[in-house]
Amino acid sequence: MEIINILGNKLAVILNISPPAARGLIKLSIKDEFGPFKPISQLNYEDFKLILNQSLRNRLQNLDVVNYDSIVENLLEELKQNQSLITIGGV
Amino acid sequence: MYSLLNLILFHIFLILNAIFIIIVFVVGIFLLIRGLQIKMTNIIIASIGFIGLPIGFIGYFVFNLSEVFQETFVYLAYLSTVIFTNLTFYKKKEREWINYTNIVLFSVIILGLIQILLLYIQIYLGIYVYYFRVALDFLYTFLTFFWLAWAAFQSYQRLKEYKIAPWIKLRYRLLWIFSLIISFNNVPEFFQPPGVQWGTSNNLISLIVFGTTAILGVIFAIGFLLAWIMPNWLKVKVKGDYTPSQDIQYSEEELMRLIKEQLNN
Repeated sequence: MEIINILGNKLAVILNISPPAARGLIKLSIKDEFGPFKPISQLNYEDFKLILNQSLRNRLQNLDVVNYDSIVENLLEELKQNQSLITIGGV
Repeated sequence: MYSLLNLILFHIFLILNAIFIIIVFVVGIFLLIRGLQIKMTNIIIASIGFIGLPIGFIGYFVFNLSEVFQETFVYLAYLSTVIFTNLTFYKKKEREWINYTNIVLFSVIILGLIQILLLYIQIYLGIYVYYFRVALDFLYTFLTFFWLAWAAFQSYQRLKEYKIAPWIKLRYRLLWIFSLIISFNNVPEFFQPPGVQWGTSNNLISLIVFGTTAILGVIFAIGFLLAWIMPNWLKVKVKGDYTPSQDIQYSEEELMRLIKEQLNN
């Protein structure tokens, strides 16, 4: 799903880690929030907001990332700006 | 001679209208199925509009139902288009009721109700309000589809530099270009001769108005058909040298270890 790539790439730049690792972190956060059985194609804007606000925030905290609040805010803004990609790239 | 030519043109335009109705219906059914499959409310709402529009046209043209019947389905289609645009492009991080997306939605709700009311006044009370109605109809149609065109255009401008699948970028382009075209769909109606029924074959100006609207409709329908049900050959054609990102499959432990290492470097 393209929105995961965009959020992952953004996270990679902020944390200075590789894009595949950042995308992996987002996918793990999706799994934390919805378990392994919800298809990624069925995730909507509200789901992604929840994933970033809760699971990803927790994961960043556990990784001892200091400015996790502003990172999550940054990603929420990126999600808001590119929310249409969930539908336009998902149908 | 003229009447034969008029009749031929009338039938060509009628066929174009039929093509428009069929394509819009097919797109509507496709969106409904996909929307249900992926549980996307905005797509299901859009599909209702696409399916409703042909029902209105068929009711009016085939079953001779009132223009009010047709206009009600046009209203449904326009409303669903605006709701689709708002839900797809403009969801907020926080809930706020007074914002420009709700202003557009509220304006379309009011303009649509006015259309039905004016049509009712014209048909059942015999008061001539044609040009006033068409002027407001222009605003109504323009607001509905320009809103979608603008939203898709803005998103396309933002996303065009990103490394995403080219067919998705093409979908954005098709959406904004053809929404923009259809936002001018009712301009020909300003030239409809007074007192002549829309689509009448023995009046040349009325026929041209009918034909122009049909052509615009078909162009829009084909554009949206390509956008939503994009054939594979087109996806391959626009792909160019794009290669999607391939992620290596790590276990959770391996991935977290890798991220920690990268964070510490």
